[in-house]
Amino acid sequence: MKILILNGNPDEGNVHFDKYLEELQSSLGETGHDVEIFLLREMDIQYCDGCHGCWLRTPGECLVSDHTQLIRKSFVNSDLVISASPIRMGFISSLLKKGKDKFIPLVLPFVRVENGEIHHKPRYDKYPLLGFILDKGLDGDNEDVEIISQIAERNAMQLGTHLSFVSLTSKEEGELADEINGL
Amino acid sequence: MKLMVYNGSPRKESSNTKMLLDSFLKGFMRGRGNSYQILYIAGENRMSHLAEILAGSETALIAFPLYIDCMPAVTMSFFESLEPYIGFMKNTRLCFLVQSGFPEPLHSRPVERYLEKLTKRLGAQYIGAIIRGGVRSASRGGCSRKLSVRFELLGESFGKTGTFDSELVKGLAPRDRLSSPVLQTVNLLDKIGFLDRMWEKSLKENGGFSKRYDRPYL
Ligand SMILES: Cc1cc2nc3c(=O)[nH]c(=O)nc-3n(C[C@H](O)[C@H](O)[C@H](O)COP(=O)(O)O)c2cc1C
Repeated sequence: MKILILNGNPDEGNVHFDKYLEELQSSLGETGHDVEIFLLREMDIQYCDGCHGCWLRTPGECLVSDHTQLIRKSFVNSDLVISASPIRMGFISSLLKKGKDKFIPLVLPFVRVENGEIHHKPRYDKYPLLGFILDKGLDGDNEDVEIISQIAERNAMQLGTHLSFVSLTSKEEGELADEINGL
Repeated sequence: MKLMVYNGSPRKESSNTKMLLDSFLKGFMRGRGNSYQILYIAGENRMSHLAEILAGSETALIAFPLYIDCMPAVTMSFFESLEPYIGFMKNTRLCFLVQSGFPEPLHSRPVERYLEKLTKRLGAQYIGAIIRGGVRSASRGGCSRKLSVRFELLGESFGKTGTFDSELVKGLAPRDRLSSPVLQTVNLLDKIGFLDRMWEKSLKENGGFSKRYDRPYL
């Protein structure tokens, strides 16, 4: 599989988190996957300013040419995209969220009924499976994980794909790699 | 009552969030002695300053649009800046407004749950959240008279009681899902292309029509 990991750890002092993902990358590499990690805090990512230019003026592309172009390109060409973040104030980091807000060019402005709900029509034929890796940190709890999972499931539905796992860094990375191999 | 209002929309002064807040605040100001101050989260580079103001407020309303099923990144960045105040906001009462493009309130329910949890985490008191779906762009005539009256009434009762009138809140989000007759109609409108037409018009106005199905990343 082609796997993209979005590392949304905002804090370079939190080396454990980065290391966990790097070890996962090498385990998955050993079993033949092609794994790329984007370290979001070192990328140029501008806030979405809600202009809708990516739907109306340059359909499919953001008017601002920051590094999220690379992220979106890699996203649509991957089989699995794993979003990773320490939990802060009960949620994924604003850094990771900043990247995610820039995903709307990946769908069409047009809407349709899907699962009895209104959703956007897809721009691409196929989207990757989605997964999440969270670190509870000092303050995160199970309810936070649940809320993040609910939102992640809605995100997946929006893209017409599935949330295949939400995993915590308390799980051995080797075990997670095995699970991913089984997908 | 003095109300501190946070607008979390990246579109700031031209946001739909502002449009709804304006109506709410118009009603709110009918209460004797009421006053408010509006702060825009987007573009603020001293989030810690906004956080400090919140910690010192008695009552605050935090409003934002739904972005990818939750708060916009910039609003989350503001929430992150509240970390030093975990458990210390006992004297603050918080309420929220979440408005979205999709018509159904169900899209906003998970983030509503998040907001209640956030309030608890801060040790603040939770007043409630107003959820409103199907908000049309302010630049397109946006707020219908009926909708602005509803927000005014809600603001007015809030200005008098300091709480949300649950009937009025419910009236803004009467059912979480579209009913099946409505869904069938939407499906039908989609089949005949009517549903796409609104966006097609905007696409034409913005020069993107011929490229509307582009897939730049393949
Ligand atoms: C990046 C982005 C993501 C959005 N995601 C959602 C969404 O997940 N669900 C929804 O109903 N509307 C979504 N919307 C629509 C906005 O919530 C809606 O247009 C809102 O009224 C905008 O408010 P504002 O003008 O105050 O920013 C999104 C808009 C943008 C620009």
